[in-house]
Amino acid sequence: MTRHLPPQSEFREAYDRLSRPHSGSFDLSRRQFLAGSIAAGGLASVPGWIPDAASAGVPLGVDDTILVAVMLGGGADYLDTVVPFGQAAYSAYRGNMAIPGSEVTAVAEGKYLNSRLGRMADRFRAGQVAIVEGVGEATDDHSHFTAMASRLAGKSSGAPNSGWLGRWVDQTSLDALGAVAIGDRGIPLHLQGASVGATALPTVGDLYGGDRSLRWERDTIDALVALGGDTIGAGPYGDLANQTSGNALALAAQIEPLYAGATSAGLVRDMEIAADLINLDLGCRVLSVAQDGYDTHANQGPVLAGLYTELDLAIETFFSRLTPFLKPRVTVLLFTEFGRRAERNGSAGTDHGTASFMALIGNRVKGGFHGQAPSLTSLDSRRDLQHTVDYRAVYSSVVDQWLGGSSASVIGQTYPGLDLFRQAGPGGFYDVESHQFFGPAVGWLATTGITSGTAPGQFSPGEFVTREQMAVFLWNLKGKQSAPSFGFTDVPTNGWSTPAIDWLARTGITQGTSIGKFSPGQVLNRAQMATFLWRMEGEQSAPPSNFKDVPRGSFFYKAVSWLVASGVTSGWTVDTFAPDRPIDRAQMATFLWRLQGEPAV
Amino acid sequence: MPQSSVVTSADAAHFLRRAGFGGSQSEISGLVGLTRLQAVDQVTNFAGSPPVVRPFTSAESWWIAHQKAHGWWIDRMATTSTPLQEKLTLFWHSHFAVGIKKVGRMDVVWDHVQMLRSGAMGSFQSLCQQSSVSPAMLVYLDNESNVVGDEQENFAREIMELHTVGVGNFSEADVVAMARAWTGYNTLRTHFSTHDIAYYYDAASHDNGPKTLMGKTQNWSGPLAIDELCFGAGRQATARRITWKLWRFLVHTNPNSATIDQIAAEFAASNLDIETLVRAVLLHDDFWAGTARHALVKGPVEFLVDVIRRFDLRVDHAGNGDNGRWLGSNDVFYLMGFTGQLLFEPPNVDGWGVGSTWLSTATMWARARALSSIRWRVNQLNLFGHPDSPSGLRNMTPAAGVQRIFDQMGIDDPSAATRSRLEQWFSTLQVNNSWAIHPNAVMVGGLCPEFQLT
Repeated sequence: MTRHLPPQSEFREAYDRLSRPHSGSFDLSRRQFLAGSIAAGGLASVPGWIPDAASAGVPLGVDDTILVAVMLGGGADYLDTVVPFGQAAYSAYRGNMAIPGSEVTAVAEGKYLNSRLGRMADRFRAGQVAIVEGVGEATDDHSHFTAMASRLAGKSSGAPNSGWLGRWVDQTSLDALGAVAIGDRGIPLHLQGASVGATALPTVGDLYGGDRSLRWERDTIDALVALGGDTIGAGPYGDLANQTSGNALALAAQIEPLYAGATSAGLVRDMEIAADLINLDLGCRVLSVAQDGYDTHANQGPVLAGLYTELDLAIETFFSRLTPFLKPRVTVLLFTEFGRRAERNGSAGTDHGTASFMALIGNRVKGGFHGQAPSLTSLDSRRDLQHTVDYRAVYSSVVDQWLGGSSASVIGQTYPGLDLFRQAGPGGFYDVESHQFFGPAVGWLATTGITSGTAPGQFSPGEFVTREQMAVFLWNLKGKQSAPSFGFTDVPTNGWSTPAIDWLARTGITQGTSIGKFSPGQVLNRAQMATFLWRMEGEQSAPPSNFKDVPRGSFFYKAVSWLVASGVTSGWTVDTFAPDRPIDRAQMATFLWRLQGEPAV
Repeated sequence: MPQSSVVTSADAAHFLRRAGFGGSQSEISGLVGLTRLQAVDQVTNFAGSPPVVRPFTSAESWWIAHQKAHGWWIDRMATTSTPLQEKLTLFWHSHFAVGIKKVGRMDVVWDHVQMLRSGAMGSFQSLCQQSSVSPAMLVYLDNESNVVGDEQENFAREIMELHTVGVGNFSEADVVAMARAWTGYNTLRTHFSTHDIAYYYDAASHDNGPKTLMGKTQNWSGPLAIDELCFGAGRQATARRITWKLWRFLVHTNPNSATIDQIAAEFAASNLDIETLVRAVLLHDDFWAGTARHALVKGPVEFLVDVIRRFDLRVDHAGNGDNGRWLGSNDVFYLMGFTGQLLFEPPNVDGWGVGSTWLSTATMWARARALSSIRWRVNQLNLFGHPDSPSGLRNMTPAAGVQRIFDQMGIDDPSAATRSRLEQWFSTLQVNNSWAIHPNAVMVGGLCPEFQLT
């Protein structure tokens, strides 16, 4: 009698089993409610299309980072992702399945990505993608369930009853919106914690409370939301039940528009919802999204091409939707439960293997390859790629270097750290490095409080300076003196830059761009900047400069001459100043720094 | 003598919420004046239990079968004359958890739950023995592939950690020994993967060597190991853990340690007779105390069953009814999918939680979604009276109307805050959209905090 061993539980089942359908315990301790939230500015940061309901989330702190974990479910093949193009063993193992040169794109010396990940390759070249190769674990047993339970649980022992991100949330004071799973399969194991819980956001809306267009519906919703603010005092859970209900209905009005804004389908739609949710700034720090279908036992080439085309578009769509303010604080993590066998099978596919990859994408990752590519010429006894990095080492780095917290307590053990994220450069900016020509200048600018960057941790050196920004920089530089309102018609009476523009006009540094107008959003050019600085420093005379594009008699001639004489600039080229070129933030920082005599920080 | 204390109306309402899925006014009246002992005798007598008829055929796909079985059970919970039996079956389903998605055959999952129903008030040791060789469990916890020389520890760990003694009462070495004891208790599948899963003891795959389990070395078999967990070295720990867990399910989530010790001792002395345990819990003073009232959160299933009972609705599982009082089993299945509690599909090996587990943004959205669907049925059936009749809800005063809603929903102890908010709501709608009071009474009655509690 032969015993029939069970078939491998396939990916979907494994994932479903590891998901808790739409539930979770819920800690209200930090959740501000109704008036409290409005008073605290909870509504100030949400877009204008949010209806008049209360905000139920708590905005992020300026140092709070965000992780979007995208699961490539089913076991994504490492070899057809980071393709060992040109290696004899690859062609030998994959035969006519091997990806040809026309379908790979080189991203580094001897390194190729599947060309369906073309936009990701561009990001890689821009230093925004960290690919960890050889990710696996010692106990991989080829079972979707075991491997996924392990990848989601992210701990080295015990039953998979909580997930690594859930345990991380447990250590924070986040509420149930701190961790959000997007998708109709509930809260996956990696978001499940012991105490705080997570929110499962269905991919389809129609949430009760979301449609406030009819008066009778609105009256009923309002009554229940208002009830949620009362104390009923029944049993240990009465008030929690009450607040949870009121919060959920209030939140529905905020969440529901996300569904109208998501116009795509599948993973792209899920990532649209993820981006829009992050933009709402309701305190989401960990999001989970999944893409299925990587269990390519058959027909791997076309299947993977379709999946990667979708993934590539989804990631691009996601980043393009993020508000600039939050974008630098978002990292996307791609992971999968295992890689696939080196050798192809008989149905143009590959069977379950072990080592694979993980990828981190975002402005602050340390771009490039990490870990060590598993060798195709020294497979293990089961003819699998040998892993070189324990997947928990990646998680540890994400916790320690990105999310903030203790990997030792989240993962339960310490793993050799990977260096996956960049350190902040001068001024606490991640996009400025001390060896760059503007590094010391930006560091000084930040230390003196003249700039706080375009977003937390971001200086945006390549962005052009607007006239309004320049006004603020100069005003900050000169000690934020107050001045009577000047009354430019295109400057709001209480805008963030108004006091600076008023001061600029009152001190004669600017007369505006035309009568009554300052053109605050207009990009400043080098001629205007020279003029601003010259007037600010008292219109001192200087020996004439000799740039062929700075004619005598132009309004900026004396200013440019003074600028050169005082050593702030030596021109664009030997004989040109490029007066019409816009000035970027790196140059502006440098000019101001030199003007002050290159002070050390 | 507490057992001879006479049951009041408020006592009866509390008792029926916990020993079942909430009582109607007549069921509550039926218990008033009895002693607690008489009330407990009544609900623990399962003699009149309606017959169990499987609502699906083996030819149906597992997901269709799952929908029907799910609808059938919800309907049974709502209509049975022995609700405690269903409540305990739900408890054991969460305790000896198996899920259809992994098992893949609704008939074996059904059989597993039916086994739990039959034994819901019998011997715990027997229930544990039966569960362990139930084909659904063999698949769910992978013991079907546990063979000598290639042991599978999944079931071995869970039977100690989850089914019996609990964490702290076994060692990793015990897990290894337990796995060896359970080698060979496998399944027979007569067709590949999905057909006809039967328990099969493969003697050749059993490890007959000596194993040291909980300090004793012998040739342990699986059943002998269970006896050890129930009657031997594990007896006290198992008794205490099951008592603690049942208390948290039926009474409240913060049990008094001395109470648990006392009941666990009784349970252990009875050779883990579940009826002894259940009666001890239901007769305990702490069960009837004020601190136990409204101290639990209704799980989604309890919530839905309560709503259905409050309006005398039914769930059709034959696949042809979705009108009048009948809700379609597919609709109910869809709505429950959002709540976090689909019968026959617990979230993981540890079953469903209790208490604050059920209070999350998403579960409240799910409850609202379910109520929002049911409100139009309630409206259509005039279950709050005909809107044009003088006794129709909308024609009442706000105070009387809100009291009518509380009565309908079985809310016997509303807070002043809830009453006041609902009266304001009632007045507002009465002025502007009085027709909307009837459907939306379901929303405010079903979403107010009092209705979430039990």
